[in-house]
Amino acid sequence: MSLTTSSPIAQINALLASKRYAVNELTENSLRIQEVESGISLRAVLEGDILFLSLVCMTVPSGRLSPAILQKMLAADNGISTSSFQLYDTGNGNVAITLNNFCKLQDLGSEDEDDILSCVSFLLADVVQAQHLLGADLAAL
Amino acid sequence: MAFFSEIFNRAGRVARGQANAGMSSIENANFETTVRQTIADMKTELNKVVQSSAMAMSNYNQLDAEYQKYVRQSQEWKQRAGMALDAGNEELAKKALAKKTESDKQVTSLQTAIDSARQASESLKAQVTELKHKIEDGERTATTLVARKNAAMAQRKVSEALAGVGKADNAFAQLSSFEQSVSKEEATAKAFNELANTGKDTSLEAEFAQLQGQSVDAELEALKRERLPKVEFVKELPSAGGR
Repeated sequence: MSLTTSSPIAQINALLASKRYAVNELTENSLRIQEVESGISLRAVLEGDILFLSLVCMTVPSGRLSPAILQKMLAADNGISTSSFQLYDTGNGNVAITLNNFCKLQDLGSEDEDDILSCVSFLLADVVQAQHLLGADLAAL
Repeated sequence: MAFFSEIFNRAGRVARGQANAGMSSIENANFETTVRQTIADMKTELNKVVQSSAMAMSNYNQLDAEYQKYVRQSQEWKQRAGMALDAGNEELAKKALAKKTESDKQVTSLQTAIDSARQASESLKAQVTELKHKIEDGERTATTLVARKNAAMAQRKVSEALAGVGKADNAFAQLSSFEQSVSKEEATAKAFNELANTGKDTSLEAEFAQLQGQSVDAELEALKRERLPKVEFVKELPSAGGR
């Protein structure tokens, strides 16, 4: 698919929409991308040539994140090989456990398209693994 | 990182960079334009060194051409002196040798200048090479720095957006809900399948299946019977010469 629409974020929007994602522009440089079957959504922020993608796994009270859970998140053999965990403060003593990935765009050609779609796919695959890894522990918090 | 510190030590570039790019967002412009301006300044410097190098090479080439000319003249006068001696004309040989001496003087005087020009040219060539490497390094570093800055900015925006994140964005909950709906669909499909099979008389089905099997066997026997008489008829035919 060759992207010809105007702004880079609009081109990314069009690309993802063509691959059957539900996409909303949140701001002039950020998108909400939803995988329609599962309903899982993620955010994409375009800053310069960097497209940063973030998916919220779960929001939990920050004080309840035990060392064991954190260790699982950081372990090299935890099965999450293409994305990385990050904690974001969401206020009220809560943190969002997120999976993140990014790609550096060049000219929004076919290589960039592949990078973008791969990043999204990796996150959606990793979130399933993350649920197996942490779901039970986090549900008990 | 030398390049990194150089960027921030040379604050004057920011103003020039912004004037060149005409950017409105000061925060973003400061970093990126400073980086870009540093590279642009290095390229300007490179152009100057390249020009100087070209002039030095041109100067060296001119001197070398003149030097070679006097070397050739010296050799020619030596050759002529030899020819004059061979012809028995010693006076002419002396004159030729005097000319040779003049050429040799020029060669000697040019030698210092040409060595100096060669050194200057080679030094400038080395500077050009070094500057080119620095620019390549700088461009790589600049690209990395800008990418890191952009990634950090993007993360900050994600962080801001997540400040009020609600349950709608909870992927684990979505996944559980999705799994439940899949399980429900599977259970429904199974139930429909069971319902479809309910009321079927399995023994009756088996009897009909047996009947179907019997009819196939009967057809096979009939086919065998059809083919059998033809073979026997051919066997019973008398030979033509027998009558």
